[in-house]
Amino acid sequence: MKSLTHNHFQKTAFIIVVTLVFATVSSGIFSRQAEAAKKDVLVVARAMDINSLDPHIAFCDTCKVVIGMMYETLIKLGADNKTILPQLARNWEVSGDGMTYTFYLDEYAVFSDGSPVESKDVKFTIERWQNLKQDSSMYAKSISKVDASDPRKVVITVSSWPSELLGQLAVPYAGIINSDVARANGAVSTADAPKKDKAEAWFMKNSVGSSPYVLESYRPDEEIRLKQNPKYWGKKPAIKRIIIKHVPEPVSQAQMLESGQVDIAMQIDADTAKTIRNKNVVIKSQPSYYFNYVALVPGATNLEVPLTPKVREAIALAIDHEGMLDVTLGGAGRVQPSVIPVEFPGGGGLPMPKQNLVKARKLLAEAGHPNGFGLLAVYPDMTSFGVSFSVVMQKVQQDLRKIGIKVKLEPVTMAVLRSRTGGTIPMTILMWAADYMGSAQYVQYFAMVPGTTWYYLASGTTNDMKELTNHREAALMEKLQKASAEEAEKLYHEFAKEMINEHVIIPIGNPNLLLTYRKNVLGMRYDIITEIPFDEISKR
Amino acid sequence: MLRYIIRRLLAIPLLVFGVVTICFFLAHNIKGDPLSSLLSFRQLGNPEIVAATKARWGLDKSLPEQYFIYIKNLLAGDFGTSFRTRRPVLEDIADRLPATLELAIVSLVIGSLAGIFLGMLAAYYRNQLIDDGARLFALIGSSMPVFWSGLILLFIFSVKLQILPGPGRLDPVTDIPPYVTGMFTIDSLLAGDIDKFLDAVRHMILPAFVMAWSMMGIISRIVRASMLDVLNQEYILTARSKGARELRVIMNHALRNVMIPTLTIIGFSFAYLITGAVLVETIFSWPGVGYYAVSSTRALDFPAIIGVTIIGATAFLVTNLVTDISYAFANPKIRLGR
Repeated sequence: MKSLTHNHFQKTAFIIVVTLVFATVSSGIFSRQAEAAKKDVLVVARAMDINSLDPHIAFCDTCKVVIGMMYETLIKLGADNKTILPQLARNWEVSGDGMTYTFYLDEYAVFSDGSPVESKDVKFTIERWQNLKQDSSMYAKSISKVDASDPRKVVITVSSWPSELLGQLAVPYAGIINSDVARANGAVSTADAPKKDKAEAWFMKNSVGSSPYVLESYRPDEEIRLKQNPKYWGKKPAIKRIIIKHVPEPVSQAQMLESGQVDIAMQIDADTAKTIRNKNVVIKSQPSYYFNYVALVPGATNLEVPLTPKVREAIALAIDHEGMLDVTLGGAGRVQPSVIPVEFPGGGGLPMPKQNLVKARKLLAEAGHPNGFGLLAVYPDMTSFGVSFSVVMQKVQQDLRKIGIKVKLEPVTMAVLRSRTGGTIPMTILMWAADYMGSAQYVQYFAMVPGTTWYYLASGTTNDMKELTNHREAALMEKLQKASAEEAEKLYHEFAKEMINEHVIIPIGNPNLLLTYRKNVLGMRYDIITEIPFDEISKR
Repeated sequence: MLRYIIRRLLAIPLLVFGVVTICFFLAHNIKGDPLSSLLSFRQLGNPEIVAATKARWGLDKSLPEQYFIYIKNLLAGDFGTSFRTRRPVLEDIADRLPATLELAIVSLVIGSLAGIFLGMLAAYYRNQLIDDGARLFALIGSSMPVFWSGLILLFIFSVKLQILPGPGRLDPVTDIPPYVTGMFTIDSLLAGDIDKFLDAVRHMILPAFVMAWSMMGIISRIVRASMLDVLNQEYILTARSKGARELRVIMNHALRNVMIPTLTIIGFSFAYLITGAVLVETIFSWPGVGYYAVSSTRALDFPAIIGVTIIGATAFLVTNLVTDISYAFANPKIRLGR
């Protein structure tokens, strides 16, 4: 009797094993057939952080990518990431005083429903962008008036910061929308837009731009699909369909790329890239314009000692920037001297930061802390551009220990970090990605002048710490109001030097961007605004 | 028994309401700023934009006011709009719950059958090589972190051998089947699309196996221990003495008594699979409720957090009820409601 059961178990086990082997082998045949059929489809792996698909509400890294594919702007950035090229505007003029911009719309430009792109659409777009008062509206702040009396001509008047309007109008959030369709679906451009506009839900399922692609479907935490706009007025791209799959883990992205499931993986970090052995995968490393930075908050209420200029300088001098690149990026990056990237106006020719422990200790002693002190670092527990913030802060902790500063690390979620920005974060680390080619964004955000974001944050609970105000920077900002592009570059350079000497914002490295893709993908390059210009891509 | 079931069913909404209330007030008192999902860090210094955003999302009202508005909407079937996805929470959950259920059901079936089989095997061949092998296999599955085993299996089967697909529910290029249940296997069968059905099944093999493997350990241990106890009972000896085939002895006499504690574990495992599979969902890019729950929690997305809590609480309550009912079928001695 026992032998019967013994045989039965053996038979059952044998049947199970054979079934499993058959299922897996036969499934392999089908998966290869699926891959061969996608020559005009591009599949991309990316950890999507989309917060909206409404171009005037969206504000995130993935948003720039997808909004940039669905909406065209008046002008765009060239392949050198510097030259402004025509897009919906075939040409433009700037008045002598730099306050009036006249754009002449391309007569062939049409939206995805076939209706022509007219000046009323540009006016509606800009006014909605301003009046919704969402994140990206800061780039439309300088615009005081939009004249759309001529359907083929748009006249934009600015009130301040004139020299960077062209760069700002190339941002994907400035994408021109079909005003008639948008209005019919709840979009409002008037001053009461924050209360009256109800179009966001509609934009999550539809797009109303003029670009080569339109939104096919969006499933949060899963994928977004774009398909070719059949009515596109320009040269149709080779790729007819783009599918961006949400793949949170870089290792999973690398696996999908190696196995051919995806054509491009957008966020593989340097360490993961080293594990890729597949000869059909191309890995190109090139400088980017992102950077991570350590920030000191002199206005924090829980400081053991005040973060005076000497103390801040001592902290900055103690950091080993070259060592930081090795530890966090395996050397795949650059030391960045100031918040303005080297290739941006005013960012070049600045002194490189160097660790100087002797001077750091001397400054601490002069500040009255020869034996160091304790310092709390509250930072978001995340990885940004392939850099783990935990690893960075551990390195900072080690460096500062050499001058007697004992750093206590407290990783938190971003939501918790934000709730504590009112004044209980003495030190933190954050990141910045450029939205367009221009340096005004750095000044508006990082300058220690009342009205900028970091002046508010660095002041802690007071939000207005007078001793933090940098009067030289305030004077430079006044001069920028009327500066030409050449004059502005010199002023930004002065700004950069001031920001270096403040030691409130300390850049911790500029990670290289890794372009990782299958060998049969052509036309890959880095675009400062959309990361990858998908309409230029084709497949062999 | 029917009265017992009805009483339990009527209690579920009341219990869920209690859970929602506790969750609502707890979530709003956690340290953290829900504006982090609604606004970027750059706008923190702009009081005008912060105020406009709070007004738009009702965060400028007092907590009791927010609570009553939430309950009023909830009773009308409106779970609110997710701060993170900007879609109705109910729509988000309707998309994700079938994905989780599909994976959880398949994992549960595989894990339960395999766990029971391994447990029976281990008990029958106690202290022999088969016993050691079965227990080792199950123990490895329970001990290994699922994100690690998931990545390793993906590497072996998807990247190196290329006999199984990578993350996702379908091939990246394949369109999803017309929505009926939200479960791609069933929906593709209903649409008559066999290729899509097979694609969905293939994509489920690895994540389901990883989840099932993690469950097998405890199920097989329970079964083994119970089986060893039951096999020594006198009625088993009687059955054998009467000439019953060994297979009949095991399946008809022993297994039924082993199933009661096993069903309890299976019931809890199912509820856990629905809400706790976030690591598997992350590694395999499986857009389920677990990943949604964790992402929403990290972002302090209150409407989504409470929406998922409602689903999770309901899942546990219903699963407990089903488990209790199945006891009565597994063991006629148990009469529910008495």
